[in-house]
Amino acid sequence: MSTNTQDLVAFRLTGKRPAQDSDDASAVVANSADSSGLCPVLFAGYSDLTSLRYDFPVILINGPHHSAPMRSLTSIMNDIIDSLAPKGSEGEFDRKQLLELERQIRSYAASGDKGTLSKFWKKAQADLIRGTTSSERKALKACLDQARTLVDVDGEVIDCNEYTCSKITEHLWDFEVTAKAIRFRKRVGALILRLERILEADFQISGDAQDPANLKGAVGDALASSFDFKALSDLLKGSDTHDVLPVTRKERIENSLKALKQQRFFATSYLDTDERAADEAGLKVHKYIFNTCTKAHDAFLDRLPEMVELIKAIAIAELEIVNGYKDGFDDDFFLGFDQTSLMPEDLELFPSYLAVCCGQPWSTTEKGRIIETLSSGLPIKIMVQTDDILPPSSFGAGPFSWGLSGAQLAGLAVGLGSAFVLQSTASNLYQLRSELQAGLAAPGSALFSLFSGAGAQTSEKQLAGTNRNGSYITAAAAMEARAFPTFVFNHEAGSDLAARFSLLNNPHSRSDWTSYSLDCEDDDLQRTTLDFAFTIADFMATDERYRNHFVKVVKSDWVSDMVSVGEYLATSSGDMSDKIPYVLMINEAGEASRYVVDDTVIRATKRARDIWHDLQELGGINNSHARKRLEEEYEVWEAKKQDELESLRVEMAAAAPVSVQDVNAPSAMSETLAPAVRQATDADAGTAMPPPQGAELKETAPEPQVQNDDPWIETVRCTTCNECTDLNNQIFAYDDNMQAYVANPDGGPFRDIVVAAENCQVAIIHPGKPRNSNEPGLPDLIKRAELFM
Amino acid sequence: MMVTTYSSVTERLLQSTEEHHKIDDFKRHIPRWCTGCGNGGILTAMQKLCRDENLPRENTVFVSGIGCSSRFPHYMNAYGFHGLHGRALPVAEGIKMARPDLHVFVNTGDGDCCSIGAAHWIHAIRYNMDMTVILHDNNIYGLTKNQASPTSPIGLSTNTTPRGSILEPLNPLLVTLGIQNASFVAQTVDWIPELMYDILSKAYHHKGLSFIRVLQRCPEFVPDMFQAWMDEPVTTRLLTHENGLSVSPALSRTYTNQEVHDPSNMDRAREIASLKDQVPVGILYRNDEIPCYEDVREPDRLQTSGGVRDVLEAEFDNFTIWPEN
Repeated sequence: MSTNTQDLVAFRLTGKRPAQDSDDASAVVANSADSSGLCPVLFAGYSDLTSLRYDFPVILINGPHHSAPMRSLTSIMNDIIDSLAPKGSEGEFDRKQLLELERQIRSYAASGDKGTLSKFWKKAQADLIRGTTSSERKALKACLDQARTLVDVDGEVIDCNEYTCSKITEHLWDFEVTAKAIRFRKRVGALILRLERILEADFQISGDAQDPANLKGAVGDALASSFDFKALSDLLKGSDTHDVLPVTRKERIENSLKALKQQRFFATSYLDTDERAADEAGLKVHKYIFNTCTKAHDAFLDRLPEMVELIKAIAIAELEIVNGYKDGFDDDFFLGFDQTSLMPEDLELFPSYLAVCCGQPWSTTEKGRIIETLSSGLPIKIMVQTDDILPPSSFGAGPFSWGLSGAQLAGLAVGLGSAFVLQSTASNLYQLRSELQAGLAAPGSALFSLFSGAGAQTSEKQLAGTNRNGSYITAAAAMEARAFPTFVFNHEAGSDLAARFSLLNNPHSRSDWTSYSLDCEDDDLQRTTLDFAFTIADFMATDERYRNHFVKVVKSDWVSDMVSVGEYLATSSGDMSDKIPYVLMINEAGEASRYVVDDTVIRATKRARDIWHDLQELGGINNSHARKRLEEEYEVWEAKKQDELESLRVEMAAAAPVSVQDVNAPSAMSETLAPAVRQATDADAGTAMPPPQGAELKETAPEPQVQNDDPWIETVRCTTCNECTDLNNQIFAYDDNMQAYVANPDGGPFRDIVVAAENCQVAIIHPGKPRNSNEPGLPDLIKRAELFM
Repeated sequence: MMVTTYSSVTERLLQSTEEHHKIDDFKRHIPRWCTGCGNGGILTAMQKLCRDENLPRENTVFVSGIGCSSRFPHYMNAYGFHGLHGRALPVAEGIKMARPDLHVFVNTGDGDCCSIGAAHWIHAIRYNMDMTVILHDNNIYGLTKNQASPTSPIGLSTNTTPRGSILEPLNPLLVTLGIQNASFVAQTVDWIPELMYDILSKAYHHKGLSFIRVLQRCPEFVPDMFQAWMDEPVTTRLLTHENGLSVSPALSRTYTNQEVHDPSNMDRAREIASLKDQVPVGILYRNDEIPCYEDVREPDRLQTSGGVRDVLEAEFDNFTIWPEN
């Protein structure tokens, strides 16, 4: 082993940098200060995100009436381009301008500008027009003006940064709750309306309505002088009055109305001026978004009594409007109705609570409350944002234990099995918007564990002079490197993990790592391809805090024992102690170099891979139980086959030499076929065979066997024309389906039956034979009846 | 002492709506249609449907115009509106707009719908509000004693066409299929009760306006109008499909002339509707994707008494001349 190799192996094992041991630093190891501006080779193509068309920025669409609560700028522009710019050279000009406008808006968002799509559009359009010649200006303006008319949505434009997770979650929650509010207002508003109409009707038939003042009010001022309202009142009061509502029912309705109007769970602005009781009473509508789970939990518990009262009021109102409330019977039920009576479907009426937990660390109480909430099934949605998955406090102090704060929580929640769980990075949230919406809409609690990528200690120099979006790149890299994999666990999606758990959007999810190829130039300016796996070691190399765990090796000193980290970890057998794992990095000039990693990083990478394997198993990939079972089954099958082969060999040996007759001798195979052969033989011999499967299905119900002597009707064909029943309702009657049948053949003369048969337009009456041989005119009647036999 | 037998509010509310009806619950008055009238079969099918779907009578309404068939609401024990001639559909639309929770059925005749009410018919199809419209088509004005209707065939002698009708009859199926937003078009005959019920049931479950033309016998004025079709079952073409009707084996033995017709095929539906030598029975066309007007134009505010009063006051103020003081 050369001196250089020894130094690198020593670094790998101990983390001790050779250059630090001697004033004469090893030539193979560059000073760590040279590492500024470095990034993994995977990032090579992403130096300027504003020129790339990807998921960000996104527009959080205003208003509840759009089918999609958010859209990416790219998808909106794609729609416009499809409508406005024909494919080919004809649409080239428009397409180019629209793509430039998109790039311009993306650059505003990336630079931190805040605004809506309409504002950014206006600004970008002005900037583009300003930069054109006068000859192009008119065409550009016409193109962009026309494109603007095709944009039917507006809303805040957000890029991927530290606020992305909270803004998207809150926006989608608001979208969900707004839809719920519309349903609530519709239902409760209708109840209020109908209860008031009951009370109004009750008033109109009461004595109070017949007072002179009320009668005058009903007529109006214009004709008031024409009436003597007192006399009219006396007259009306003297007449019969209808029954008014019982006092208890009236009180119940009034109490329900009061509770419905004074509810504080949703705004009541849907009601008309005379029904804004809650607002007039100065009641404030509840808030549902909190910055800790503890606050959300406490708010939910505080409001439970109000919820109980509102649910009771709604139920009573529903019963009252159909006059279905049963005194006594329902009194008992509603008297005992309290918090313990609430069912999950009752809670679905109300908004869910949203805890937006950003910034760590959390207190022990908060951690406990999160777990408690996720176990309880309460309608509390918890968004936990992780900004840093490589916290320095746990790194370096003994075993490498980073990444626990975010990913561990989601894993724990999956283990609870009682909550919707989504784990994702901010860069992937647009792709997972439907899953996020599903979690917000699902009954019960939910955890959204999201990595923003905004807290990573990325070198300022790394991003200096570039339009590289640090948050987006870091978040995306975390998912690519399996440091923060994406998954969804929907505990109500089905009965097994296959239905409940999904490894959504993780690239190359069946592999340990994501693998890529990159075309580049070698030292001789020839095209070459770099194949590499993107591991957590590569991801860690992006973090300045851990640069001491990487040392650069110049190309002239590369040794044959150097292997990539992915390759190093993939080798499960053999002695790897003399191998030197490295990651590929590029500097600001785009030059790729190998950086050797120490054992601490290798241990961390292994651990993250093991966690990823666990997730793969949950997602049905490389399931160890299934694999083990398969191996066992294969062994059993193999042993059985071997036994069979052995038996055949013995049999063959005993039978040799084989005669022609022996070929027809029964064998194991022919025994197997024997029943089928026998069956076929029986069939050939004309033996009765069982009918083919399903044959009985084709058989139809036998026709009713009717004695020709009795009159009968094909009842199912009766058209209810009343001909026969009008003629003789003793003989003919209708069944439960209002179709005629012969109810009593002795209910009248044979003549009536014959006449009914003759009159029946669908000819379904069959008279049969006369039952009374003494009836006059029988020969003629029998002859006429024969036509309908 | 009464004992509660339910464990949640939802269960209690479900119990309050659990009312099982019998066919007699939907009967009201003795129909005053002529003996042998085809309307009886339609009435029976409708009463069976109401029973089988367990429709709450207080949430079910029948609307009609003028004519023999328009007496229908009188014989259904539910809410009814016996309206003006040709105006059944706008009344029904108003009811549906104000109370989208109601089950709305419209009974209209060939004179009521295809003549004086033709404009309303066209726009009702276009509005596609969720209701079931039954066109009782007997090819004659019966209530006014034998005048030619828009669907009377050429040569039919009536009080108004003593030398025989000279105009080509209007084909209600073709007209309906030609209107934008037609979402359910079917035809049946009153003398095959099984299919009458099946089509009525399919129409009721369709979300949108279901238009059913029922060829209905009038034994009083045109007793032989459909006799040939009744006597020769082969002239009746049954339209079957997995998204349409399925015919029982017993009926298939009688009606052997069957065609598998996909109800989403509008072109074929129009060809079938144009048949002259055969009577198609089944669902000619259905499209469940067409939006209903009441859903598209759902008001965002409740029509409270106070709100209605305010709007009316404001409207009246536009025409009020205030005396100067």
